[in-house]
Amino acid sequence: MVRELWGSRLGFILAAVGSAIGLGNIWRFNYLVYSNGGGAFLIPYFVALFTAGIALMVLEFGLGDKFRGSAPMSMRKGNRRFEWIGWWAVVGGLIITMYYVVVISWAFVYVFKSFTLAWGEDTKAYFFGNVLQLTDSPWQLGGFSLEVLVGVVVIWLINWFIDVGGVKKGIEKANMIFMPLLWILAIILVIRGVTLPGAWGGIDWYLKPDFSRLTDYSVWLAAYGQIFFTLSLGMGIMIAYASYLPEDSDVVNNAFIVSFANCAFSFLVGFAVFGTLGYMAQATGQGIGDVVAQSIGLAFVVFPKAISMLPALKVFTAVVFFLALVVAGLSSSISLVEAFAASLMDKFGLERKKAVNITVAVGFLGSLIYATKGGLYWLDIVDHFINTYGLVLVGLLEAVAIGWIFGADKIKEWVNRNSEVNAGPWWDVSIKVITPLVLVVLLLFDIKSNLDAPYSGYPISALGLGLVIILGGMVVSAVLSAKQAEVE
Amino acid sequence: MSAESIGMGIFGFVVLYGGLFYFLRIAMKSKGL
Repeated sequence: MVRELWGSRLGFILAAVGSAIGLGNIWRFNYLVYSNGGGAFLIPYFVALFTAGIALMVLEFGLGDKFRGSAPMSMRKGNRRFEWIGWWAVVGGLIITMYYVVVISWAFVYVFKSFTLAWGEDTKAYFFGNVLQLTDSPWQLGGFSLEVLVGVVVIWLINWFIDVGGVKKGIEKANMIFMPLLWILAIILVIRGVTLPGAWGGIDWYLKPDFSRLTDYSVWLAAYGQIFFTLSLGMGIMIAYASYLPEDSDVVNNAFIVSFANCAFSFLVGFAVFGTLGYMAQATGQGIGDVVAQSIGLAFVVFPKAISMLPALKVFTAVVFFLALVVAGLSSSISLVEAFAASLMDKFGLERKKAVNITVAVGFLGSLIYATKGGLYWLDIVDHFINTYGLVLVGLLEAVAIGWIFGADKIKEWVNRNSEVNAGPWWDVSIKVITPLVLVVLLLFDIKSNLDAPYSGYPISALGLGLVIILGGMVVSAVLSAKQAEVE
Repeated sequence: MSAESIGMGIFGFVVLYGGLFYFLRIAMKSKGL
């Protein structure tokens, strides 16, 4: 089968940036800055970007470009025993997609709710009570929340439609629209945010540096963790995307451009978020600490509340905000679907349509549990475990397997053939020493905190099932890896 | 807004957008986009 190729370098870069920019860029990065020393956090963040993030990006791009395959195939070509790592990366990615699509569907539902500002005064009660209809425990699924279910079907259909279209006519074309649109939406939100009364007070809190926090190891761990998660590493995405590059492509400079674009977007959006929070704090006479939030709480509770309090352009701002979440989410979810579908195509010689059909069908079935009224609990539990035992573990195994066993030199030699910027000795040190070391520390801290106390106070039985889902994913990866390949 | 915050804001923009445009410029000068 002839491998598809990107139509242009710009198409590849936009697709990779689209994959990296996700919901976390909008609702997580700025909170991390605020809660880890303000502007001082930028120092460990940049150190992490230069010493680990870009190096791992070069590694994943290099693997895909050299071996012309999805994560399992590329790892297999490196060493037959490594194929399992590639499968665990994409199976973990598919598990993430199952709940990620549900979160996008919430934002999708909120785009329509924005026209009437349907959330009213009590945004928290509206989101958890009316939209999610959240039950009391993970063991009470309570049937489906209908509007969430409809949203999930729509978002999966959009993913199917884009991925089935192929690399050039599907993913590249979609990102050629998604990326400029997302940056325009972000700039609109920033202009709206910084022009509100009290906005600069909020931004002051976002950036005010507390340099004493730099002696706190947890700040450095947070920075390395954020860099690792924000760049869409450890899920086989960048390996699959790079496998569609033409033979003489630049790899190292592309990795720099994608990494910088992703982080630049996060930093910019922080001005929109903290500008709006600053306005809200001033309007309610509260401190920023009383209104600040991250993740789901920021997007579906605090922001709708802030939007309702705006002096003008409420509906417009709400539509722009939730549309930005949908676009950021979609450009990431299509890359996750592609990483898994490409693996099926490579291993079993499937046609694209069949591979995407299987991926979307399995993904949709997996999403159903998260679309139930108790789904949020399962989302939280599975997300917690997959981040540790999926992404971090895969990143660690990748760095060790390629850096120490396959040989970092071989990848470095390959990527430097056509690169405008060479990977120098810094790259070897990063892949062989810094990245594995940091990821081991992250892994150990997570394991320790899991052993110290049950995560978020969930029942042990629910946490156990969450862990079983992850272990099940690992077993599936081992089985897929052991199966005889149709295409060698 | 304090001078320290303004300084960190400029620092962030210069590193991230400066870096982005620097590497984009290298790409444009050699193989293009």
